[in-house]
Amino acid sequence: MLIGISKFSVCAVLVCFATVGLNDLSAQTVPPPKQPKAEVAPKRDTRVPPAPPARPERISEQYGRGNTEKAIAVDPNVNIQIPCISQARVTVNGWQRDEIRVFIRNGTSVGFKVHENDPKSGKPVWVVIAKQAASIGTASECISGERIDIEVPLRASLKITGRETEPRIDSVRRVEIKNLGGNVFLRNISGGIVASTYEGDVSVENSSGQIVLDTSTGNILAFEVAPGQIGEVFKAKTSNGAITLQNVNHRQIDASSITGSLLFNGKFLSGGIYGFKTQKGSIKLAIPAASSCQVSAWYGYGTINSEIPMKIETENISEGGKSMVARFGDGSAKVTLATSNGRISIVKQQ
Amino acid sequence: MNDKCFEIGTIQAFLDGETTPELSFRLTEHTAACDKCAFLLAEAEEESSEVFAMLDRELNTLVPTQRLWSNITVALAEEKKQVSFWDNARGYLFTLFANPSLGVAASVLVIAGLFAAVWTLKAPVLNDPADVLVASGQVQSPASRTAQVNVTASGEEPIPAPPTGPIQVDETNYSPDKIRKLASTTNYRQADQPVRAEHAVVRSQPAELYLPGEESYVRTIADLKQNVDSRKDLILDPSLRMAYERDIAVVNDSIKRMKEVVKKNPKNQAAKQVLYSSYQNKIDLLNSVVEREELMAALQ
Repeated sequence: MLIGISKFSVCAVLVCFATVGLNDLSAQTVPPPKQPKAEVAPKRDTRVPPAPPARPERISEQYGRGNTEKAIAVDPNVNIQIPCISQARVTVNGWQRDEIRVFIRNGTSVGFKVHENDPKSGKPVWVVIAKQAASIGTASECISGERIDIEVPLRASLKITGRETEPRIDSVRRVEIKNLGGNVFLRNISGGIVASTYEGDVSVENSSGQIVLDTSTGNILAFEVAPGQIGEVFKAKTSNGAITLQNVNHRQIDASSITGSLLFNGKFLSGGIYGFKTQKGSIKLAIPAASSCQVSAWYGYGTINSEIPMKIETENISEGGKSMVARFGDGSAKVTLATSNGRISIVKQQ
Repeated sequence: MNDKCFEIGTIQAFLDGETTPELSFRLTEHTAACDKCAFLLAEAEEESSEVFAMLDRELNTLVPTQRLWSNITVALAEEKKQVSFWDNARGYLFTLFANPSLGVAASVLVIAGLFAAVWTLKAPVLNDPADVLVASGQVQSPASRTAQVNVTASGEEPIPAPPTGPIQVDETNYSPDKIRKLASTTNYRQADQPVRAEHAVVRSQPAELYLPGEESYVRTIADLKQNVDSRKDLILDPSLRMAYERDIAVVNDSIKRMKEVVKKNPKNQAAKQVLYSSYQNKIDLLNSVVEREELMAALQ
């Protein structure tokens, strides 16, 4: 009897295992259920649509965890301040909407703090973009992310302070940026630039206004740059990098480097004051053959040569303290060149 | 008058302000109800005013009350506690030497001590080799041999180590005059020869001559450098630190070379310009480190 019961139980266990195995097999053959579609960030509108009517702050956190998009209607001449970006690739583009839009991918949440409204239109004229629910001036206001895209009105002024960012800013009125590390790219800035980074290059293209560029370890490149008003200056300073200026049309230029070389490719304007200084690098001026300037050169232990005929007014050749004052044409612009150990060369502009 | 009436002394103390607040309160309360005490108080007050008027006229000062005396006593006791050991010792010595006989004795002791010190400093050197040789009389011997004492005649050579044991004197072939000459020109000195105190001479370093405006550059750089050097390891990461040190080295080299040029020819304006430019570059470099630190602090 007992033997019969045990056989029966063994058979029952085997049947159970067989049933479970068949269920597993059948489960493998069944196609998996449809996964929800991966969230795709919507294409950003880079075209220039007509200006929308003013609307309140819009919050659309529809990109899932870590992605944030926010927008706020503002005055076209708005001042935007981002007090702290800890780490991100930052892109700022100007558009014709009177609206600020911020998109952060895989990063912190962000919020707008309106500090001042325009008394006439009632729209914000001073907006701070910072981490949401953070008070200004505290450490927690730093925003970060894999990518931060910001659209601002074309006439907006921007002030950014960042730790490790690589900002690319295009088509705004004025930019003031201070960065601990990372390259800075600026273009189409119409109302002036103050940019400094401690470890990275600074590039400025097709901009105007007073421009001050500063980097500790990095190159500076500026081309197609002009003053917005009379008297606005162009300054570029690097400790450890080259400075290249091409078609910089300011009447007052001051460029200095310590171990880097300087290249100026453009023309000296009448009444302009130009200074190019380097400690150890070379200075190269590529100017039109018909330039009019007075060049005062101090070149210590270096050398000087010119492809363009010049009239030497004074020359002092003594060890370690060589200097020369020469005139090109009428000498309407004043050019100062100083290097203690480098070579100065003046060549014809191609 | 009843049992609660106050004595005239207490009333007087009240008028002098020497009673406790509680007693004063009780006294005023009582005099308001008791005619006798009120009369006594008025009488005492009148007497006091007369006495104070007289004292004021005579001495033009206040009579110290009991409370004042007690305050003075307490203050003196506290001051005594705060007097240091050295003040106590000084006071004790002054008291001690106020006695004329003890003062004279101490003066004699001091003079004797000074005399002994001077005598010790001027004591003759007994182990002078020449004296030893002459005193021994062996230098007179015709068969004398070379002295074992190592005597160096040249003043330029290093001073030999002094003999550790007793000096062995032997016969020498030198004549006495030659030995005296050698001994007089020797630079050998006894190790235990007393060191005579000399007046300290402060030799001031020749003041570095600065160009016009150079000193302000140098000062600024010194201040900044002091600030930066202590923290640059924290502020700059290795790559930046390397670049910084390289730039500083380049600038320092330039400053050094230009200073030499300017020193040779102070009228060399070109060298001056490059020198000033180098100073400015150094300041900018140091400033960049400070500014970086400030930015880091602001972003933290």
